[in-house]
Amino acid sequence: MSRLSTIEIKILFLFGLVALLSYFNSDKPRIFILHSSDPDIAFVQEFDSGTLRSLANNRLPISLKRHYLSLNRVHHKRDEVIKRTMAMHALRQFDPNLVITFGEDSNILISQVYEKQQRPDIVYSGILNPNDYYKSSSNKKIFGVRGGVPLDALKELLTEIYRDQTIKVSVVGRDNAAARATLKEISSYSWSQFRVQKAALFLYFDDLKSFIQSANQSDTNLLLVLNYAGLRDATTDEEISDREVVRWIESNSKSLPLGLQRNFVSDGASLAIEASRHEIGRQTMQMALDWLQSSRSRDMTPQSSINKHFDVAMRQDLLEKRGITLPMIFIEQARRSGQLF
Amino acid sequence: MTAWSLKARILSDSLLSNLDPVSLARVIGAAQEVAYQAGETIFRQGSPADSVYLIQSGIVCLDLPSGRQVTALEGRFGEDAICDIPRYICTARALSDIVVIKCPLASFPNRNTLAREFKANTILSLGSSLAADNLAITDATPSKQPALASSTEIIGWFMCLLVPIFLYQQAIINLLPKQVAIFLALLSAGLIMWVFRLVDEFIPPLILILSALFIGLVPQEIALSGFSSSSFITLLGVFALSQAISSSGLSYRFVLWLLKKLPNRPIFQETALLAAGYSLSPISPSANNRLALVLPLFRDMRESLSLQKTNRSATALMAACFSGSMLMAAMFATSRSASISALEMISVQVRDQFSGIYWFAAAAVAALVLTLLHFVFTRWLFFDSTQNQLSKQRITEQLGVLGKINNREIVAIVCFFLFIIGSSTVSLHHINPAWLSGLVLIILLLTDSLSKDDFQKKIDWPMLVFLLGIDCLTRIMHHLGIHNLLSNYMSENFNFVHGSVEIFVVTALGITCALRLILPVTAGMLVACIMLIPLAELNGIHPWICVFLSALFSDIWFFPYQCSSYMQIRSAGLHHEFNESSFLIYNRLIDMGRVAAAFVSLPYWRWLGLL
Repeated sequence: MSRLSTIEIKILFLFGLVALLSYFNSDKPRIFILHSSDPDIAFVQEFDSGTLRSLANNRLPISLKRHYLSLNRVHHKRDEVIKRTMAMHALRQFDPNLVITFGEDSNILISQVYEKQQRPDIVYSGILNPNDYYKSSSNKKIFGVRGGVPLDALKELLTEIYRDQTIKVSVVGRDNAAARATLKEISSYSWSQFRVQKAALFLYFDDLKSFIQSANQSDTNLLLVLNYAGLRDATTDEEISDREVVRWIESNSKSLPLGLQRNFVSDGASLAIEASRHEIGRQTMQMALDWLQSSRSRDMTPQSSINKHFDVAMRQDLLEKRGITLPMIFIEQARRSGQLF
Repeated sequence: MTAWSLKARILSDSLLSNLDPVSLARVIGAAQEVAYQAGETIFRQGSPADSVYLIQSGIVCLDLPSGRQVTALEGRFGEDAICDIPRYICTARALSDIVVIKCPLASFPNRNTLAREFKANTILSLGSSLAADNLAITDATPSKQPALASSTEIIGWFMCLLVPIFLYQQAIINLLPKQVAIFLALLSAGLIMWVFRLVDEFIPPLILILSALFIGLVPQEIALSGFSSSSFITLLGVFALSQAISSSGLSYRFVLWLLKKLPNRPIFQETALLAAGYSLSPISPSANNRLALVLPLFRDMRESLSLQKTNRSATALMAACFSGSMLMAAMFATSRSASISALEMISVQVRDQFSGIYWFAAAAVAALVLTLLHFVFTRWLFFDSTQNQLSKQRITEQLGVLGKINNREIVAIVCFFLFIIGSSTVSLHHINPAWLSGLVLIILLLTDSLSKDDFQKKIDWPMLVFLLGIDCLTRIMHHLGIHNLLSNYMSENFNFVHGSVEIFVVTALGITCALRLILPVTAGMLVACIMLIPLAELNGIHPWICVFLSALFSDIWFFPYQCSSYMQIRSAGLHHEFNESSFLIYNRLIDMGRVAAAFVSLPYWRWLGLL
């Protein structure tokens, strides 16, 4: 065999190095995060910042891809199908070891896509339905972070506002999978002195207005707003801006409107409480990373967890107009999270 | 004439065929065939020299300014153009009907970018034409055969691939985190490249950093953080100042001035050489650069004193020359670029404290001990009763030729004092020495004391990349938690230190010398720091002491290959001009002196509150 030249042996080394690095790259765990909503929505950004907080402490090399279904703005079945197809295409291309889903629509999509498959591992986050709802007959590595409505915190907050009064609640929202699941969760919760009088989900703003006007005629003293983005005008079928919806609710609802999404207050309302998306994001990513680290060496059983952290948002002037003063601890919580207006 | 024959004619020319392929292609593209009738003038003396001519057929006569007439040899004339001579020296006439290939000067590359051999050959060719004599043209054709790899290279490169794989598997088997296993594997490849000298020193850190980025081992803001650290500006400023001082002629003037002022006795001649090296130490971060500046003086002095190889004074002069460049290498933060990098490994407070003159203050006892030992050893080993005298007249003449101090030298002096005084008075003005270094750089650039060309070519960019690359690797290790693993390893395996600084000094000596057997001085010192700093922290020893000891002991060498400065002396052929064996004995003694200097410094460090 003839002797190698210096340049030939350097090229050989380079090929070897690139081959080894490429092998490591392909062997890296791949995490796919699927969001139901747009990336510019506040709670999505909160969730993402929570995942980044966990990733900042992570040292295991991973590949990460985020995909946004953006179903919150879709009103036609055809568009919805396109969005889902695009997500499935992205999933197939990335071939993840682990999928994190955020939002009920993405949870459902993933449970359908991977129903009959053992791989990938799946972490559902902010799940609203019971765990069994997402279980697959073949994939045992499914777990999640429950994080719907912080019902215990909500109950405590309302007790502070209404003291010994009986609270008669109207529940309203825009009709979608998440709202349906939330409504189910609220209905099944043990509220003691609370009574859910009326509950309805709509696609059109005019229906929502009628519902609130009818609630004003009754003796309900709390209006629980599950969500409101994407409501449309019944006559023109055009989408109504979030701000317009919230301002109408705030100025026309006799009873205190309380949102279950933080941006309800930034859009003009007086009070909102929601599960901390940042904390859900952090917990979910941490759970996923722990799982990836441990599943390589041991056969662990996936564990689910419940998020108990929440955020409060409020406008003190509007609350004062309604004669409501909240305990300092809630005001401070809102101030710390930059949600005291 | 076909394009093929035009090309064939140019390729057959003994001068032009040695151009590089790209230049050759350009010349062929621009060349054109021109016919002249007998008696017609091709170009006149004094007309702009804009083309080189190759004779295709016929005879050409050159009329020289002296009136002599010669026939163009080698079938080529008009080389004045590619010799950067603006106008033709002679007149060219066709003696018969001729056909020539005219190659315009514009198609040739800039003369500055031509290979040295080609430039020499153009001058020889012009000389041949004018003298009508075929002067020898050196064969500038580079060997087309690529260099064969030596056995060491082959083994080294294969180890670079195989050892990391083996190490990775072992790390995984030993349950080390995957990211640590990957990094250790990559690091081992870099170490092998250094140990086998497979590539230039600065390349392995780049390979490691880019590999880490390639596989997403660390975020880019960590992997490249060394390049955004203050060390970058510090090193750049110091390199620029060093360059300005040497290229302005200030350093040479200073050494001549020293020789003129000091008494004309051997001890003072040696002291002048030693002082020259010492004075360059705070601003020249490379011992090789310092040595390069004082070695010409050694040669001048040896010749002026008519010293023979066997003469002890010649060896004493070389010892002074060598030690002047080397002994202060550990005594200033800026006298070794690795020291500036090593400071990045320790806490911000310590870094700020020691990046100025305080480093020298803390190292003063060691510097004093080594200087005293140098004089003791040189008197003992090289004492010569003959009182050789230097020619002061010659030194005065040399200074006379240098003339009055010029503006570049004045700027260099101002910058030197600005940096030295600024670094030593940080507590007054609260400006980080790194930014002072940046200010020095700006002054040098604005005043043209450092030209764009100097900035491009004379700053030691590979060394800068190497040092900042090592800084990046250290930060990657911190990010991956490897320093914790290293700290645990050191605490488990070096628990015999038990907080004793004396044992720590011996440990530092052992580790640094062992590393220096396989690593070059900069890498050896930095790797020693990486290993020793966690051990120092565990044992409550000040981290600067650890950095200082690594710097001090990394200058110890047993084999010539370990010391690039000594190799520099050998490659210049100067080892024939003194008694090498006596010099090596002196060097062993100085190495022992370094250990002694460390121990003698301990009470002083206690007094300073560092222990």
